[in-house]
Amino acid sequence: MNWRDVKDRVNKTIIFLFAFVGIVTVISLFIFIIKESIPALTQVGKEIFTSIYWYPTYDPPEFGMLAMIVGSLILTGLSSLFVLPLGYIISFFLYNYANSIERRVIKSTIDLLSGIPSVIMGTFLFIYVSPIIMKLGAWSPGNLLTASIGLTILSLPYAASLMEESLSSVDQSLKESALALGASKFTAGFKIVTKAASSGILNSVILTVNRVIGETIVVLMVSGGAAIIPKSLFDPVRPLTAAIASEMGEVSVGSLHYSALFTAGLILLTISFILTLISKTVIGGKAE
Amino acid sequence: MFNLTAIREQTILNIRDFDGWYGQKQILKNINMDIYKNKISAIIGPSGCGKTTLLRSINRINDEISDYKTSGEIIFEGKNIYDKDVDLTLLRKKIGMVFQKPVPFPMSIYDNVAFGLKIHGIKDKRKRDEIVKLALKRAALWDEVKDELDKPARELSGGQQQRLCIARALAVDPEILLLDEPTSALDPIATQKIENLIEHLSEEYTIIIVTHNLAQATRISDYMYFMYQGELIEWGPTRIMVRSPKKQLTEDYLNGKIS
Amino acid sequence: MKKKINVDFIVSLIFRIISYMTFLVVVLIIFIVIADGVRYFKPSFFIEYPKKAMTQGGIGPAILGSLIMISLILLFSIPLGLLTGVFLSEYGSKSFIGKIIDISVTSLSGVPSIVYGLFGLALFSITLGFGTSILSGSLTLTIMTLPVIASSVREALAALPRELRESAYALGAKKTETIFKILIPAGKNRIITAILIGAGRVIGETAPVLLTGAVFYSTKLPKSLLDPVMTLPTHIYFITMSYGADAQWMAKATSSFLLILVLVIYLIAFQLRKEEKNV
Ligand SMILES: Nc1ncnc2c1ncn2[C@@H]1O[C@H](COP(=O)(O)OP(=O)(O)O)[C@@H](O)[C@H]1O
Ligand SMILES: [Mg+2]
Repeated sequence: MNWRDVKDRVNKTIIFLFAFVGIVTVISLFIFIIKESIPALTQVGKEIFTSIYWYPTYDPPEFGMLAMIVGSLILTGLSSLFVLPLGYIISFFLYNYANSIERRVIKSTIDLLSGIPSVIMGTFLFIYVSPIIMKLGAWSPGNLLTASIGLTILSLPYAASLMEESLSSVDQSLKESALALGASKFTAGFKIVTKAASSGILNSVILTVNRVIGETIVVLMVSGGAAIIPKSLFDPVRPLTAAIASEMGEVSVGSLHYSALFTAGLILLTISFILTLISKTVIGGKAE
Repeated sequence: MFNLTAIREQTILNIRDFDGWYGQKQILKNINMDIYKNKISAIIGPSGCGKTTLLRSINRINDEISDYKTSGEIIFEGKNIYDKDVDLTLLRKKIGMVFQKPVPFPMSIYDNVAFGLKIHGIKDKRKRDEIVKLALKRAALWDEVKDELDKPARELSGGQQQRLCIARALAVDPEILLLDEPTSALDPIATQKIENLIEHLSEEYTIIIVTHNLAQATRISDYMYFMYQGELIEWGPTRIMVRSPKKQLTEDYLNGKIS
Repeated sequence: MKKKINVDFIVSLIFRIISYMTFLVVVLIIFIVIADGVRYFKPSFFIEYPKKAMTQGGIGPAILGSLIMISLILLFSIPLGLLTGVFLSEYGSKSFIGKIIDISVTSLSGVPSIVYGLFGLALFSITLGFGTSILSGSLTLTIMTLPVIASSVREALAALPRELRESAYALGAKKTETIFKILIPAGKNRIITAILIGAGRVIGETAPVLLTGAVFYSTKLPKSLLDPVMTLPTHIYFITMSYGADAQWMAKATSSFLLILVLVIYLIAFQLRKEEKNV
């Protein structure tokens, strides 16, 4: 072996070692989150998932996460209800009707939107939007509606650009042959192209939902923070992410409360892992 | 008859019972042929008949395609290039290749040509300069670029880029140069230049060119190899083969009945 | 015939209005955040410490903290993301190990940032004993950035023509010589774009830093990587959530500055991407 071969081998080894970090990270991510959750899972038990009473600092403490789990789900559901149709409409407009200037301007604006840090969105909502919502009848500056608005804006770039990508990746001739048969652009785009792009669009939906569930700072700032099951748009909610972020600073390491927050993390990690795997294997899509 | 002519030439490459598969699909079927030193050999045949595959087998660049398998031998310098102990780096240094699409590296004109020299360890800057200049001259590009060697290579025209690719291949001092339809992406004037260049180069190098342009093959080659559906149907000196092909298939192809 | 034309007319009108309105909302948000904060900008704002319960002074330490963090993150994540991307594109996601690495990287891209925060807390801060520190925060964000850079590098390399690789091999270049001397330089623009977008995203990241690296308010600069640090996003968060109307100006001004910073990074990235397409 000459010097060049040695160098080639060494470089290759380095590449493999670095690439291996990804595997190690995923494994240790699970190990650490699970390990820290075990005390809560074993000592509190199934009550975590069935009780709505989250009083971690009372004596005796209660660690029911149901209200927060439901809070996460409601927030995600509501925001998805806004963002998915909106994302589809925008992507459909860009794909089907927009002229090249509109395309360029709207697309780059949406790209820019994806760069706005969520803490800035939270501050914006807190300072400028919450007062308006309170005038409309909300009794706390943070509530389900404000949080959903924030989540909708933050996840819109994902929904819109991923959906637009899936529509555009459909063979142009498919659309053209539908048009040639006398179909309107709407019918061609909605019935033919969207159908052909359905796996890509489903993938966009999954990735967007995943993004919404995991969003932390906006909901921490404008969801209100009460761990109750909301009954109206103006009620506060407390999703899992917000609970972790706001309470982690005050717990003592190794306590049951600390462990319960890791359990909340484990729930989130499991959901995101499943969603990503569905997106990756079943649909064959790629992550953003 | 052509064997008599052949005896006087010196062979540089012998392909023996050579087969090639992509996965289960056999592309090359029992190829047997010789390549003569300092001659221009043209591999012709309809599109999809396996010309590129055969050419890419000669410097084993096709090893990069993961499901490609071969059997048989290609003898170069008395040794089967498919033997286990063959140094691919050295083999490819001796058998250069130019692709259909000109692909300049993302660097200056000078660095493109010097790339092979650097990786093969020629450290002396003055020597490198000299070789780069010589290679560019041989590729008939020197006069056009001598004042802008530091310019990014992709700013050259298509024809210039292709000559740069030839210069880049020549710089590592190969014995054989493989060209896969080197002019198919070029306009007629650039094509003309490359054809002239190839004829020049055969004084110092052995050239194997794949083309489906029959006129081009007739114009520039000394030997012609006609392939059809993975088989080598006939080969021999170009002038003889064009005038009196032995096989019906060859005759049909030469007359434009198959394409 | 006539009816069909009407469908398109109506739908395109409605969809156009909705798209334009969304566009306007986005532009308005960006404009309000920037304009309402810019008016507090003055030189001292960028250098001084916050004073008098955030009602006066500036964000000097938070700017410094963010800069230190982002430098460390890039220092760690560029080689990591680059080589992972190289692996995925050049050594194949076909082998067993390759598939596992591929799935790992994809999974990482979907993990919520707060979970990264928990992981960083458990691994770096507690188990490895780095505490709440610059180092813990940077390492946590490095892991978050890995999938962003790796998948873009992979795409950048995969988009290169096959002939480029083969031309190098045909000259006798080894695989890693080809990767480092030809492929990475050829994909340079796209790779830099990816790094910039990763940087733009990570510099505004708040939740994981809250858990692993942030200090609420500090009167001295960090002396080592094991000290905690103020950063721009966590600073915005703390002021907005914990201070009254008197301090709101600082949240606005800091938001404005952070947003300008991120947008500049993004615009450079998009410019590069555009140039790349024109080549
Ligand atoms: N990478 C590949 N995998 C599978 N089949 C291939 C591959 N490359 C070429 N082929 C097939 O091999 C045959 C010969 O191709 P090629 O050698 O490129 O022909 P030519 O250069 O004469 O046009 C064609 O049928 C082509 O479809
Ligand atoms: Mg070919």
